[in-house]
Amino acid sequence: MKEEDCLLKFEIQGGEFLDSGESSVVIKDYLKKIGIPHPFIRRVLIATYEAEMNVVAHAERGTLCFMIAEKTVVIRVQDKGPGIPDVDLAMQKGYSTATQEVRQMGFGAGMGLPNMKQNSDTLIINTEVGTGTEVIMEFTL
Amino acid sequence: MTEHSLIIDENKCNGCTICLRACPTQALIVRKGKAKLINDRCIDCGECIRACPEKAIKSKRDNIEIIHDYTYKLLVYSPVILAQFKDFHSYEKVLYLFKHMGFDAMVGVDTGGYIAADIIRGFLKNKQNDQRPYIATNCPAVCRLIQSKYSGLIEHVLPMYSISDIAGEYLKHSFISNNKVNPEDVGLFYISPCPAKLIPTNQEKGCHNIFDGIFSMGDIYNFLMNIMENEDIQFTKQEMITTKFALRWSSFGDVEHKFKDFTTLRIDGIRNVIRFLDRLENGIIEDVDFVDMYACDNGCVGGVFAKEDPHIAEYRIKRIADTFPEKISKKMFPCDVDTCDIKMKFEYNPKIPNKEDMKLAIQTIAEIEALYEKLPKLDCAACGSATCYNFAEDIVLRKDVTIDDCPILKTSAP
Ligand SMILES: Nc1ncnc2c1ncn2[C@@H]1O[C@H](COP(=O)(O)OP(=O)(O)OP(=O)(O)O)[C@@H](O)[C@H]1O
Ligand code: SF4
Ligand SMILES: [Mg+2]
Repeated sequence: MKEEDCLLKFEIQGGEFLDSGESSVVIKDYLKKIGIPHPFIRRVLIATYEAEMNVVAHAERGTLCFMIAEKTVVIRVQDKGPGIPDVDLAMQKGYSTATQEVRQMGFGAGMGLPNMKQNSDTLIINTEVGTGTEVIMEFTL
Repeated sequence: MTEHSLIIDENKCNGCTICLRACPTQALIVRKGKAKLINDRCIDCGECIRACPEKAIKSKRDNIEIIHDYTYKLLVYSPVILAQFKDFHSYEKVLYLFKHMGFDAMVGVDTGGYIAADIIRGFLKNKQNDQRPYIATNCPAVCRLIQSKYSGLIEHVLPMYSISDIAGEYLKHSFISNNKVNPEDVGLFYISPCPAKLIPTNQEKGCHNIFDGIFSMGDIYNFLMNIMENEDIQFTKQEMITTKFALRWSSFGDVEHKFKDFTTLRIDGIRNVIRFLDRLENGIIEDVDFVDMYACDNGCVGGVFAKEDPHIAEYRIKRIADTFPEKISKKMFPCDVDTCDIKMKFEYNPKIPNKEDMKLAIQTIAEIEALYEKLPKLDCAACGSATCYNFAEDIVLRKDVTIDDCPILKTSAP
């Protein structure tokens, strides 16, 4: 998976809730243009949105790369941030370290990672505490 | 091929490109100095008719004379027509004039609204119907917009006919069974506020138009004014049975009244509709049960064929509606045919593109984007395409222009 294979690339700023969620929309429009059916697009849209929001909510900043290889859509999100100390725990439905404030804004239900798992065909998380996290999701057409 | 109601008069069109910028779906181009319609993009909303300073864009419609081809003549009118006359308190006169024109029986679209409301309420109450928000099918321009651009929202469309079709179906069935007449002798007609309603909504999917003829409200307005000017008419009292709510819903889309216990929105104006559909498709609209959307500002009172200002028309309809009750007997308008129920299917059969198609599509997008980057991004439409991006698409896909057709690039070239 090379950098130049990215069909679309996005920068994500941590803490920027208002302007967030743009990448999933641009990717959705792209998939629509190349004639991908909607049920598939919806899976990509939901999972990508959650991945982007995790950078916004939990990390400093990150990049999102969208590519298509053969019959697979790949989304890779890399961030600079605190990393995830216990991935198995983070993957549990309802688990969240979100503050009360964030929860009041309608985030922090602890459903992001479970939704990403559910909507993608493979989900790989590489993370290092204190450095950052890489999330790779694959969707098979 | 998709049928459209718009006709461009090449003798009048001077190629000014104003319609290109007015069109919400980029369905117009100017080539060799004349505007042309791109059929699979047009949704018949009629924004171009409003915008054209040369009055070069018209809408097909039927001639009023065709009613005489039938022994029995039935009419569904948009109640918006009642608000087109200064003396709107005497709206009964309009109904009388319809009789005078030769119609044997008539109802307003409000009758369809009255019948549909309870059916939709029942549908929304059923928790299993969870593709919320459900989108009403009352404005055909909105339906066509969803069919052509928002494949992802098809399942949100309420699988039901519009309230004007329901009104028509009710009128025809009740007339035939009450009078024991041969259905073939019965002609069903509609007075439409807009070009969108001049052609069947779901035509690609084989759904036929229930009306035998559709007239423009503007033509009918002229016709009635002529009768009133030139004939000495003895008006007799006409009865109209309706409810406050049904009248308001069917003329300016005031849908909330009857759906207060659901989260219900009315959205009017094509650009507002597009913004909402975008957000809905992006997955950021939650907790809404029912949405009624209209291409025109203020709903059908703002229709292209309406003469009166939409705000004044809305005011008049409200005052007329005030004279009617909130409720009438349930048995008033029995309609048990399928058209009056939630049974229609909006079909959409997605095909997964094969690998080669996909590769080609990706290449094509890259080509378009690369061209777009070279363009001035002014969206001035001087090239004859609505936006710079459309121009780049046209160079690659339609191939009827080249980058040399951009006059801005030409003048700024060293
Ligand atoms: N990119 C990341 N960097 C650091 N921590 C993360 C990252 N992504 C997830 N986490 C941790 O994993 C937890 C669970 O993530 P998940 O997305 O499931 O829930 P959430 O983001 O807290 O809430 P929701 O996604 O429902 O709004 C988070 O609370 C956070 O502690
Ligand atoms: S809002 Fe009413 S008048 Fe306007 S296009 Fe839609 S149906 Fe026609
Ligand atoms: Mg999350």
